[in-house]
Amino acid sequence: MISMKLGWIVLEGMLLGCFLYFGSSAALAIAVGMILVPLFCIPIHLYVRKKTSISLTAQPNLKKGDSGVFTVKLTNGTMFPVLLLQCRIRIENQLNCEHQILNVYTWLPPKKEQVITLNAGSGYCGRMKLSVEKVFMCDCFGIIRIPCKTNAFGYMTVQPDTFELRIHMLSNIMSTDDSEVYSQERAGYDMTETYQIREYIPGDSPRQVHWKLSNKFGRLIVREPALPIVQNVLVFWERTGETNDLRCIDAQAEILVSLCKALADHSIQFTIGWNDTDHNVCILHEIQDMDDLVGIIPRLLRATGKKDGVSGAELLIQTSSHALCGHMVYVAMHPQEGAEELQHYGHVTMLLGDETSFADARNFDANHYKEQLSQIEL
Amino acid sequence: MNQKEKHGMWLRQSEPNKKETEWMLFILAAMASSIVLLLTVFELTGFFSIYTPLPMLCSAVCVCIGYGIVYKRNQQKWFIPVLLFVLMMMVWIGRIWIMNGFCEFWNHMGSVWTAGSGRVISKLTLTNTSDQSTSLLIFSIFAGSIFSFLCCGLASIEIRILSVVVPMVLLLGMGVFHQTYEFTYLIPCLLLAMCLLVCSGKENQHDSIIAIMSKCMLILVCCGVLLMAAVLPSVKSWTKDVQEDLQEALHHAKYETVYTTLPEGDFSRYIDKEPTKQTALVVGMEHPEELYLRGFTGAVFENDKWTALDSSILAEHEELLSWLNQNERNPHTQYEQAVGLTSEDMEHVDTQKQTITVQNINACSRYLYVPYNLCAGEVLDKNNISTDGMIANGRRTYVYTIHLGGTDMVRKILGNLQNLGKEEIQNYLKQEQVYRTFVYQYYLDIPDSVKEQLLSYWKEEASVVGNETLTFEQAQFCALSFLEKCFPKEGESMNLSLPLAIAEGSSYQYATVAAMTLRYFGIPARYVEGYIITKDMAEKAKDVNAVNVDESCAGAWVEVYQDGIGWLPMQITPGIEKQTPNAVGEEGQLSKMKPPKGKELEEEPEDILEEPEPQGGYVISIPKIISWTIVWIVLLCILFIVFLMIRRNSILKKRRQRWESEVTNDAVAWIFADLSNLLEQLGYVRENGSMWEYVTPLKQRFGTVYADQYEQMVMLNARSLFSSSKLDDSHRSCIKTFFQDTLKHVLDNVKWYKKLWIKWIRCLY
Repeated sequence: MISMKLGWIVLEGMLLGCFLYFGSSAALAIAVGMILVPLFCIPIHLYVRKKTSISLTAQPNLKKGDSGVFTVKLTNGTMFPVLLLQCRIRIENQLNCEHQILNVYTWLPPKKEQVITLNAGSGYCGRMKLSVEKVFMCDCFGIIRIPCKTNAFGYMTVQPDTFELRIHMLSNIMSTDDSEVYSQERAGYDMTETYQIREYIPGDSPRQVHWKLSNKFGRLIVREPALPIVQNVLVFWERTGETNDLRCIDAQAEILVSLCKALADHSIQFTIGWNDTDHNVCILHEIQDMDDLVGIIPRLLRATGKKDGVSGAELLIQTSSHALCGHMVYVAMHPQEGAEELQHYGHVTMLLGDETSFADARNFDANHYKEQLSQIEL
Repeated sequence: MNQKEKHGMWLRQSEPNKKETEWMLFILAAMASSIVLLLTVFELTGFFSIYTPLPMLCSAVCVCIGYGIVYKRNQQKWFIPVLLFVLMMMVWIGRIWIMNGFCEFWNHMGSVWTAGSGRVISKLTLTNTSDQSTSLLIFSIFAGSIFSFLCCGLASIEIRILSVVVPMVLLLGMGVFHQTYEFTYLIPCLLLAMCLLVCSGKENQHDSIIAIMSKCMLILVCCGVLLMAAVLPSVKSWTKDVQEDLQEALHHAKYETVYTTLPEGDFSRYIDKEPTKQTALVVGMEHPEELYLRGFTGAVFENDKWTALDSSILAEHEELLSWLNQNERNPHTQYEQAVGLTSEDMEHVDTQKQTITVQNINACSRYLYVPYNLCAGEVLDKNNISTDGMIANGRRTYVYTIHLGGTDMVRKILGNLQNLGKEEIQNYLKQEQVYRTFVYQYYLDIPDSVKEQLLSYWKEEASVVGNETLTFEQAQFCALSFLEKCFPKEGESMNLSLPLAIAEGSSYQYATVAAMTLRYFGIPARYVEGYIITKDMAEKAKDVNAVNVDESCAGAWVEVYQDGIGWLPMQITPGIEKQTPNAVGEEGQLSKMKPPKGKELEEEPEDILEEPEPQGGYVISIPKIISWTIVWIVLLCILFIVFLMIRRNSILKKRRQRWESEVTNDAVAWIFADLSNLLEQLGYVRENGSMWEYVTPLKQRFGTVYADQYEQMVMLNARSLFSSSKLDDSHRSCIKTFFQDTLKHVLDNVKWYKKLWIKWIRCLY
């Protein structure tokens, strides 16, 4: 756009020079034309921008290193064309805050839609937010730009590569198989505890029918059994103390997902958690099986880290102590405040991205973590 | 986030049909630009007047199509060598024809330039061994190919460059050759430039043909409507006024001060300024004497405006005028030549010269202020063939030499020229007659408006004498008698309707009427503006040897062409006659030298103009060997540059391949090798392979951080060479980054010629 503006300035200058030096009325006419065309476009663009809609669609998942396709669709509802349209498209990896901006130029035919196809990808895992940050309607010289409202965005998850990780569970006296805690998220099998009461749906077992309530309401009511949470393992990702090393963040995410996958493969019920550094809360999810894990990955991969702030370990102890259990895995770049205290609640295996030596800590580096963490004792 | 680490992500637009539209746009842009450029350049240089453009345009179109096809097939790398080879072969086989064609082109360009600027350039001599039409044909094809090749090159870099280059070349050409092709070339060229501007570039890479056409149509329609308005007479006259105002303002800013009085012959917007006592010129003289310091000179009078002879007229007589200039027969120094030829026989006449220093304080600095008795010297510009006022172009201090006591010598010189039969004098008179013919051709014109106004008065004066054909003395008598009526020395003037009524009663009006009247009666005359140093002023300045000439000394007078001597001021301007009574004859008498008996030239003036003088020759030719040497040197330079470019590209390409090698260890080792080459430019030569020893010097020179990084890179290199563990891409990017840092250090620390060496010979970046 700068070259076009420069070209416009040079041409305009030459035309004015020609008008003044040679007294050319034609040069003056063209010089005026070059000014009038952008001015003439202003009211048209002001009208068109009210009738223009923008949407973005993106493919949901992507492998690391692959290119994903997403499209931006612009619809012009008027009979006026926009001869030059500038879309500023932003892509941001929410996990490591890496971002890129691309200016795309196109035109908008009257009463039609224009589709821009783009490719995006990343060498690092994370949840990518794609957004049409700004849209400008420009005259054909790109001199006057009329901004257009836009709220189009989409997401694309670059899935982490997992590696084979062998787990050895150590017996822990502090661990218990009899749980008094039940899942708040789903129904289970423990008839002694009720997860929820609801209306009968064909297919429900007659044993679930709550006769007393059915009688009271005059229709069939069933109760769903609760799911006892066996708090064997907590996998916690410390997001405070994060550095800007993209490869380290990527390594941590891959370790975390690989570990969770290994746990799920061993049919170990576990809780995955991390600290939301923006709101200073701990986010915890119970993982029963692989489907749960797959579902949680997009959320996990947008857990932005921060260098300073309240540590996740501290938050976990203070606000979510119920989640603490006998086996805990603490994944961090560097052990934060409160990490040591976790050991009072159970056996903590620390997976640390730096060289810090700690009891039961396993250190890894971003280049060799696959070899370094091929076996973990919990 | 650190910028260096942001390399994991990419975002780009899909480019499904990019090439399809791009190569078409490319061909069209290159073709249109080369056609417009060729037409422009060859029209401006006058080449079309001798040859048709068809072969040239055909060759240009062929080259563009060829390049377009090659571009589409992505084989650009072959195009340049092949075309260069073809052109070289053309030069090799048809060098004589091309050279002759070029000479023709150059000579025509020179003529057009002279017609625009009034200055001459040296002509090239044609080789006689080739046919002219064949030479022009081959040169046209060659030039067309070169032009289109350049356009293709520019288009392949960025089509948008053409949108600026094409009109720029046209405007530059119009400025240099002082020509205007408003509707023939300028408008299509500018419209083409605008279309190229809006249709090219990355903004339009993905646009469909419809979008591109829409943009062009919008511009063409909008500009078309405005162009229709632009041809309205009122708009045209307004633009002309603006141009004139601006040029006047520029002229004022460049050459004048607020105290400048002289109107430089333009009375269309004349304002009668009260003469001030501000110093206009400071004239330093060893022997102060009265002087007519001529500045602006007008030959043509039209619409209340005096102008110098048009440069196109000068160009028609280019050979004569440049020959006069080159052989020191300059019309400005004609008086000196006449004195020089006759002085040895005039023992009692003082022929001493004196140096004059002029400091222009407030006078218009566009002109040199010189008297008619100027001697040849530095102030004469031999390339300027103008016969009117001498151009100073802003110079405010200059020195020249004049003949002392010149005004007393006119009659004696004339007598001697008629009486002496010396061979030199005869030669001089022969040459002088050539210029005299030119003067009689152009300095006798009277505009119709003036004729209408004064014809009846002039006829009345002529009827007093009675003869149908007036003798010189009779003509002189009639002219002076009419001027006496118009501007009587004493008493009231007759109420006559005279031209230049806006400057009624001023020396400007007098000089104009006098020039017109003298011309009517067959005496070549011209209008002159300048400053006059009177005898009184000269007397007063005898002690200080410098005369302060103020604006009150500014005025206009008429100069007549005195056969044999040249242009001399006429004393009869009211007010001026008191100041300088001895300029031409006495009591306003004009002397007319008759050609020596039996020495009249037999040749017609036109013949003389066409045939070069045997002793002088009008054409200054550059020896053939020099021109050939120049052509070969230029060609060799171009070849050398192309060779360097190709060599550099291939080296860089190889380097890129090595750096991006799949085996990271190899790539790191290669990068380190290049890095050590780079460090060599800073004086750290890798002699025995070890680079450890430079850690300390680098620490001292560029700091600890750089030295630490350097140490790591040496380690990395050692790992890549001697360790069995594989390096990964992070190491590669790390050493690449360090290479860039080092390059920055090198570029900051070496001189420009070393930078050129590193870039073009060593090809290290």
